[in-house]
Amino acid sequence: MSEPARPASSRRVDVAIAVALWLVTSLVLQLASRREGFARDEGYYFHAAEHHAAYYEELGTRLGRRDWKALRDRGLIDRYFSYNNEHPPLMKTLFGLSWRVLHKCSCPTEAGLHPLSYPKRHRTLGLLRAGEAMRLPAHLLAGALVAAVYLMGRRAFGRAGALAAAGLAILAPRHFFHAELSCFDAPVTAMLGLTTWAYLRAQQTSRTRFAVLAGVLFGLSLSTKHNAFFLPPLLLLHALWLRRDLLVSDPAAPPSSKLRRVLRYLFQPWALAMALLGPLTYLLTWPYLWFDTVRRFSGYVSFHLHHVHYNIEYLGQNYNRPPYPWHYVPVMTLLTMPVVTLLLSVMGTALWWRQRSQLLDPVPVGERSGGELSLVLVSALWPLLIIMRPGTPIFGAEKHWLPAVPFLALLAGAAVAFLVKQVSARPARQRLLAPLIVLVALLPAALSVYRSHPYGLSHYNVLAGGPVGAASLGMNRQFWGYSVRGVMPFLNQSLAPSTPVYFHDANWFQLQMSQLDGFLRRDIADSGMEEPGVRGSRAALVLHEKHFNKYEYWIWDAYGTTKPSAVLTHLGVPLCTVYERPIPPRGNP
Amino acid sequence: MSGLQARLLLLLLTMAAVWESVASLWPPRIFPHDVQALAAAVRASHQPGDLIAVAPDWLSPLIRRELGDLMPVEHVARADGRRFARIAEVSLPPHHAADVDGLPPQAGTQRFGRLQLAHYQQTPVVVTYDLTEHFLDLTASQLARSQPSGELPCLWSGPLPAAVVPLGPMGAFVCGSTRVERRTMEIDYQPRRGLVTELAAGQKTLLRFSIPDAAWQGSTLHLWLGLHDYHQRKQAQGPVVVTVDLDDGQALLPLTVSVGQGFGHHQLQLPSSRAEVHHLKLVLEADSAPHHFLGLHGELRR
Repeated sequence: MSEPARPASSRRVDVAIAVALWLVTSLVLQLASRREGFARDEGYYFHAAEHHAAYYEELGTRLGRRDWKALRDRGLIDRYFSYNNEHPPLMKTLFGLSWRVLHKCSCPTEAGLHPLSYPKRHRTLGLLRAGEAMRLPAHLLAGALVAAVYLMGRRAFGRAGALAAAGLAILAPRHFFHAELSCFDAPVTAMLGLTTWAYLRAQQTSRTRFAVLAGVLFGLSLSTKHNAFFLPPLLLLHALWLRRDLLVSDPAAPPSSKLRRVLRYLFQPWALAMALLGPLTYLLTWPYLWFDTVRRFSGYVSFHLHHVHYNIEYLGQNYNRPPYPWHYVPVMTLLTMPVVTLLLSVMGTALWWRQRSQLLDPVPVGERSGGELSLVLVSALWPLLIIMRPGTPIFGAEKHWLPAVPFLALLAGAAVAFLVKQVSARPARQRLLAPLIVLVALLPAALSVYRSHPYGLSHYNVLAGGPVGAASLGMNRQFWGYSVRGVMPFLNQSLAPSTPVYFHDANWFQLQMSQLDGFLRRDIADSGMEEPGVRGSRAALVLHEKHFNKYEYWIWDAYGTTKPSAVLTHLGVPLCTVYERPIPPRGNP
Repeated sequence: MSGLQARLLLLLLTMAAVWESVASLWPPRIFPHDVQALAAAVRASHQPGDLIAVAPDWLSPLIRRELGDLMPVEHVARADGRRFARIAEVSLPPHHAADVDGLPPQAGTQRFGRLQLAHYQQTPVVVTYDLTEHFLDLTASQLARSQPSGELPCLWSGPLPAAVVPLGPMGAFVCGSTRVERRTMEIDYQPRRGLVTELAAGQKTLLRFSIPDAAWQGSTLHLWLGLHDYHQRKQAQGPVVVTVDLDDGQALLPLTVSVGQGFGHHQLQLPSSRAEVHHLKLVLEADSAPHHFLGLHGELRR
């Protein structure tokens, strides 16, 4: 079934909606992230980001002087790309460039808070604080993902369902949380979503530009996070299944024609583009791999194949070595995603499967079906299945299967589209009901994001009984030490000048960014790590995770009290507890 | 699918959306004013020596913020609650503290929002000797596993325990490169007050207590054993063997402490021979010593 191409005005409206979704999502994330504490891993990436920005600045300067050798200057590259080379560079580079262009600079007065020294102020646009500027690229990418989800949904089942899908793609508390950060999990979710969209458009339109775009986006995905290596098998299997008609043999056709058909079947344009442009883009964005490539790439792969198994609490048990329970992934998904989104996803899958004719928009003339349902379904399941393997680390919780979320949202959008089309046969009533049905789909998800903010990692849905119920179930409350931001007002107000503080799981880089952006007093000092840090401190924090209990016991012993000075909670569930060393009677040390 | 079926589906969806939205707007939560009111009620009826037990564990920081001055570490990190005559239990129903298992609550259970306060009484056990309290009376030494002689003493190093804890490392009996300390241990992710011995490769660590006859006679030795510190447990291999030697070989009891166990409780009958002072010796060893931090607490109870 096909219909004439949609009128240009309709296409323009859809493009405008997609752009609006992109901008609104980015803006909301940028504003929301201003209340979000800096996470532990962000600290490392901030550090790397300034290095990457410095590389491109120095490279640009030298190229400006026609010093072409700068492009092959291994010393220059190693100086700026050696740090944190266990992760690919794209996002760190974007964080750094965004910071370099946008931050309000008083760098010469911030000695010790930057990984590099800046004797002169940078010339910048001066629009954002350092952390805000660092985080902006992640927000823009999440916005782009929302726009792509809209376009995928719009092409398949119309505007109302597409709007619902776009909204649900970001209105999941855990995804929203990760999308605020200068980390890689939400960006790679966006990159994989965008690559899949380009692949789908290549299948639907057979246009070379989408194949090329898919190849470039795949390279950028690889340069974002290693999850991207799992995408090609999925797309290849989908494409081989989708284009199986090419293998149907025509007895009258000459052997050379059969061979051509097999070659066309195996070497589809998008696959060629991904195979050629993907690695090329990957290499171009990662100068560190330009030298000693095999050893360095092997080191990167090896780091992730032998990654340390960190701790995660699940149903009252602390896990830090395989085998992990296979049900961790489905149960966590069930307890952290908005329930209505999950319901809609299940409904959408069934309806797309069984009521296709009542759901899908006709295929435009000049295009063909891209196997949308199968692609969306396997894209939703594949990230979950990878982490369900008992040997795969689960310490990152849902962040490691975030790439499933936009596709779950698309399935949910299909259900919304179906309801809009089937609740009434009258177009006028459909137009009236469509916004209401979209609202019914989006409201619970939006409220759960609102309720969880800024402690998204502590969010559990109504099935778990919220954060209180989840704490009683023995579910992980947080990681990355980001909730330390919530106790900074107390520390700023209560501590004597130059107090040494044991900051527990919050690393010094994330605290330095908090100092740069004015959330934490500059004179507050880090007392050091582990037990010597506790015993040398005058105030101490413990971030509540099951395996961190011992740190709180160290504090009790070192301070001679179990009474905290402050307890940061989310809906009454402790996230971070602050202790102050009792003041000794006069004459004691 | 008919329009009617679609409308029914929409109705179901709307009901689910309302349910979830209401849960987001008014989620289950613990309010600070409830905690404060509960704390005031606990404080009003508190007598010195009362135990405040909290369940589930995650509530503990909220309660200690209000009542921490009544909850010394010896109470919070107890092995069990049998030595306390009166227990105030703060709980989030249906959770209960293990200390009150089998005890009937006194009249007057109170609710403070989602929290509950209940009072319990029991006939407490009499503790005649507490190994953890008598830490400084301990004699610690090490002996090569391959040699029956050549015992080396573990001498005290660092500040003595004091009410006001000084900055810097805690004092301990130092045995070569390992230590015997009194601390709040983390065993099975729970706080446990007791003695931690870091096992040394190829060595037995000997802990000796001299116990007066008055404390010994008629008592039973209660010994709790487990491995301290999850970081170490993650890497530890194989069990620790603890041999309990009562009165110089009158009774020899080998106990095995495995990596995955919690704070295992053992009750041992004491020989009834008369002497001015009785000797309790604990011999600690492991075939693979690295990463074994043996935590123990012991009491003579009547």
